[in-house]
Amino acid sequence: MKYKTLVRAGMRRHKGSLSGIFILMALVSFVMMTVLMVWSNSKTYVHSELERMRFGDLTAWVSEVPDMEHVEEELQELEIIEQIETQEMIYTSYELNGEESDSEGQMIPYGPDEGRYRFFDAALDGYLETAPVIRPGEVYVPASFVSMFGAGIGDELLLRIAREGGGLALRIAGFYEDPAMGSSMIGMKGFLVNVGDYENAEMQIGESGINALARPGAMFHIDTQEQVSAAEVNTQISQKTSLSEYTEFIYSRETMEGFMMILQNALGGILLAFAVILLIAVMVVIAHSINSTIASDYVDLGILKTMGVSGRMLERVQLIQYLAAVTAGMLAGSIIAALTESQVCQATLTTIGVLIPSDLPVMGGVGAVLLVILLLTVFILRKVSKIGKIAPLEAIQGRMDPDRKIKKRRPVIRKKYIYLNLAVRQTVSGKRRYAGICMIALLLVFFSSVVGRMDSWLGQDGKGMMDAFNPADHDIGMQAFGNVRVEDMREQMEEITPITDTYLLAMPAVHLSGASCTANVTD
Amino acid sequence: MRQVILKGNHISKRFLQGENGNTVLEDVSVDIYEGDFTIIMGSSGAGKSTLLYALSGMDKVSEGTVVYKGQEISSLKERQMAKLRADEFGFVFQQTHLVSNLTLFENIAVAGYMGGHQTEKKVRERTGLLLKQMHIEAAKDRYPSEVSGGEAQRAAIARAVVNEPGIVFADEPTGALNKSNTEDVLDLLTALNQNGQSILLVTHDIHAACRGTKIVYLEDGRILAEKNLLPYEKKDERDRETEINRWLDSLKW
Repeated sequence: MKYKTLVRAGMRRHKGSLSGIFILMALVSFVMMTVLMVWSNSKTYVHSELERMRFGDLTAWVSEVPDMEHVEEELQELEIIEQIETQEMIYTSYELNGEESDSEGQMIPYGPDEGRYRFFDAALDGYLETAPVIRPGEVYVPASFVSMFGAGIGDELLLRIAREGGGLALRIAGFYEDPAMGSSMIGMKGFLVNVGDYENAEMQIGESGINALARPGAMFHIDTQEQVSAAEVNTQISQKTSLSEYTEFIYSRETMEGFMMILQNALGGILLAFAVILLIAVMVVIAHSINSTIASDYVDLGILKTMGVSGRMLERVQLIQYLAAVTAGMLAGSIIAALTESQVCQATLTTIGVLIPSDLPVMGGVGAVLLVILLLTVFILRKVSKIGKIAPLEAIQGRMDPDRKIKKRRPVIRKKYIYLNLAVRQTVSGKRRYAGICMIALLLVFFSSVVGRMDSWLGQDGKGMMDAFNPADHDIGMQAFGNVRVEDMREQMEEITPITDTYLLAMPAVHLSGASCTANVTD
Repeated sequence: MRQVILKGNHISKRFLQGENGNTVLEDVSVDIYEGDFTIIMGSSGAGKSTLLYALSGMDKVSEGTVVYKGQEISSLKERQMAKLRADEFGFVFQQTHLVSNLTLFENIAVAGYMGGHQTEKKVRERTGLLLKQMHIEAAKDRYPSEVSGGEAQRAAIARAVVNEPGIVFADEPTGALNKSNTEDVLDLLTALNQNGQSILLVTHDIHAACRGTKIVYLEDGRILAEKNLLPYEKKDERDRETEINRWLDSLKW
């Protein structure tokens, strides 16, 4: 009861600074929970979806394979390989809403009974219960097309199958979730098309001969035996099969997960840094508030000591007050986070390409909250330890805390501008209190401004952030092949537009774990 | 036979002041008996309050020891001293020194909760009773800044005795009060003492001093004389005052 009475009285007295701490902690907790949810859930979700979709330990993208079955057989004969699944597709460049694609797309035939992909509803806030039937002339594109091309249902996607009018125009019927390459950070994209349209495109490629722009290909989803390293798998595939002759690229599942997590990691990192800064701000406010409390309640603390209240108990009373504000703030922030997580997930869908499950990670969340509370407990205990040193007699007799320095120079009060003089004196006398309020106000304004700026920096649908992490965010890029002088290239380009950035690029052929590939090395 | 409840043995108190120390108490030995209303008097700067705070353990002594109910308290640690204050000591000061963010009721009750020997229910009942006895029941939910000096001082006395302490230390409790409030406060202290409460009171007011059972007179940090007032107990207040005046005159007061 003694604690209850003292804590309640203290909270009544310092409700201003405690409210500030409550708000800041609610923000910290909200940001922390959001980071945890985005990061942890999307990592788990992408991993489980790739597994469900039977993306193997390795996936090899191949093109123009003359005898697909032969390559499959070669792979099956390897002891280290457990299972192979082939997904046919056509590599094709495309145009959407007047914008030409940077990378080739992948035209994938898809039947409703396949059950591999999940389709979003028209509002992009959930999934369709049953996979739709893709009719001829229709295409389903990744949700990130909304942020990349401003795509909408009914837009026309033009696939360039061959030169001289050999295009295939498909109408976007909806969006699907691609946990392998659906993120807007990944250039290659798959489109799900009707089997008939796919066969027509295949036929058109065959008929176009040298004029064909699109290339037939496939994805080999390769499951390997456990305890076999990726390097060993690569080496055996390169040495014992003809796969490397047709390979466009090979990625392990972990690498694909890594690509899919780039944006979430970046967003999580930014938000985490924001939460850390907020937490530091809370610590500054708490430190200031405790110092002000000790200064303003100096006599009361002395009186309480004469009543038999020990220094340790007074420290605990302060600790309870601040921890109550901290805990209540964290709880409020967590509740707000739980209520808004689904909106966050929906908001990030068109950028990261997957609908992150919005379940709050309870264990992780509780752990993080406890960790922050523990950190602040240690900090507060350290700060309130001064209370134990207050001598009751000195305090009640008004003898100053030796730590407090008294400035004897105070603003003079004159008849002229009396109101101003009194206001200045009032401000100087209560400088600690006003400084505390000022600090809380400053921090809140600062963080509101940061949130506002973050919104404009992220841009519509997160495109700004996407561009920030894109090393080639230019309207035109020019790359020289062969014996060309840089100065000539420069002159040629400057005739069209000013150059904003240049970098040197070497493209050596390298052998990595038995696989041949080209490395892009920039300065 | 009356028991010594509080004993000061050869107490000295020095304050550091420049190169030379300022000696406020010099080899003071004093016995306070259980149930006594002991008055400490002396001229200004004689060391009255310093002696009271030294005996109550609020201030450390430079030399000597203080013994309360057979236990030396001058070397107790902070937590032990806090427990002793909570259970055994009550304090009344010239300035009421109520905790500003607690109501009168809370000021008294918190002191009660600090003592370990009463349940919460009993503390609340006793607080209510004391508020009634002190005639401040109507002001129980007000903060110290919202009541008169007399009401605040009565609340401070209630706070001092809520735990039924072994001894109440009062440092000029009427010093800041008007005549009417002074009478009320002295009447309360007298009534408490008549119920067996040991009180040690510092004052320079003869009128207050004549409520005591014993006067200890200090001069320049030393006990100059002591006077037992029990023989004058039956006399009326004016006669007691005259007797004390005569005694003080002999001490060149």
